[in-house]
Amino acid sequence: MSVRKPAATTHRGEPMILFAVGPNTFAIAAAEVDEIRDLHDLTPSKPAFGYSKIKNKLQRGKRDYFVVDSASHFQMLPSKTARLLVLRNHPVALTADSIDRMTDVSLVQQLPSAFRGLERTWYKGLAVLDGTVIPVVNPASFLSDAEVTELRAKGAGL
Amino acid sequence: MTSPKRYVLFPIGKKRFALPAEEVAELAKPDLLQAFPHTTPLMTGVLVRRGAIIPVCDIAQVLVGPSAPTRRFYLIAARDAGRNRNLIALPVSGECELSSIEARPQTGRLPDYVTSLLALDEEIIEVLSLKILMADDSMKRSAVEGRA
Repeated sequence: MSVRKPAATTHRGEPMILFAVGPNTFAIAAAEVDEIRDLHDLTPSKPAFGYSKIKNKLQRGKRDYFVVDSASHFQMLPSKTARLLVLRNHPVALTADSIDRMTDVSLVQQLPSAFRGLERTWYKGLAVLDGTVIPVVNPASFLSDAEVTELRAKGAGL
Repeated sequence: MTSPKRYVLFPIGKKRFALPAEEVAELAKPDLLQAFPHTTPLMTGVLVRRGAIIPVCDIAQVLVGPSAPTRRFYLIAARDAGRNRNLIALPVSGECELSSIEARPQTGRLPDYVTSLLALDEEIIEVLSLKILMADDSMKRSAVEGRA
């Protein structure tokens, strides 16, 4: 007999990194981030139609990463990018204005079903920290495997 | 004619609208609205009430258009009946009233989300279906056009 998952996704004290983009704070599981670094060593990416959120690329060792502008991804106004979060399981480095802190998040609640737009793929859910609601980003939403393949085929990669 | 039911009447601007009382959970004073990036029309953010995250939907944009006055309270209602009783907060511009009134079927060219009408003195109040009002197509269309 199968057991249904509860409505809320729980993580027992999962470490998360809080980062700021414009006026908004987001959380990402620390296990999904390989490195936090500054903006040095970025090189401009060849523009690819439909991928305006990618303007730079990063080479790190033998791996290459598409630098996703977070403000553009979340359809926000441009922000003052100062940091990069290099993802562990995706060829993506994510821009951030600043890193707030690292904290344990005990509960990630499902995004209310009334939200039916792109946010359903952007976020894994919502965390409430000290009364503040913080979206927990879904690392796979920044670029899917198919999009990475398409970008590389268009020559936007390294 | 349908038998009298209880309705919660709420103002948005100069007009009043109604919801069946069984769909209304509470009337709340303005809490801290918390926003985050999203692309769903009419949604303005969420409230945290007793640990629960409640989405806020500004239906005034649909019902009275973009010129709706400042909303002062949140009417917290259930969007769906039964087990999936998803709560949603609706900003309203004044105090609400509970009333038992006989509803009349809606006639004419009113939108689908108006399920019936309440006649109260010289006032005609539209009874809303949140489920229909918040249907994807309705929200997208209404967010663009509004309703004078």
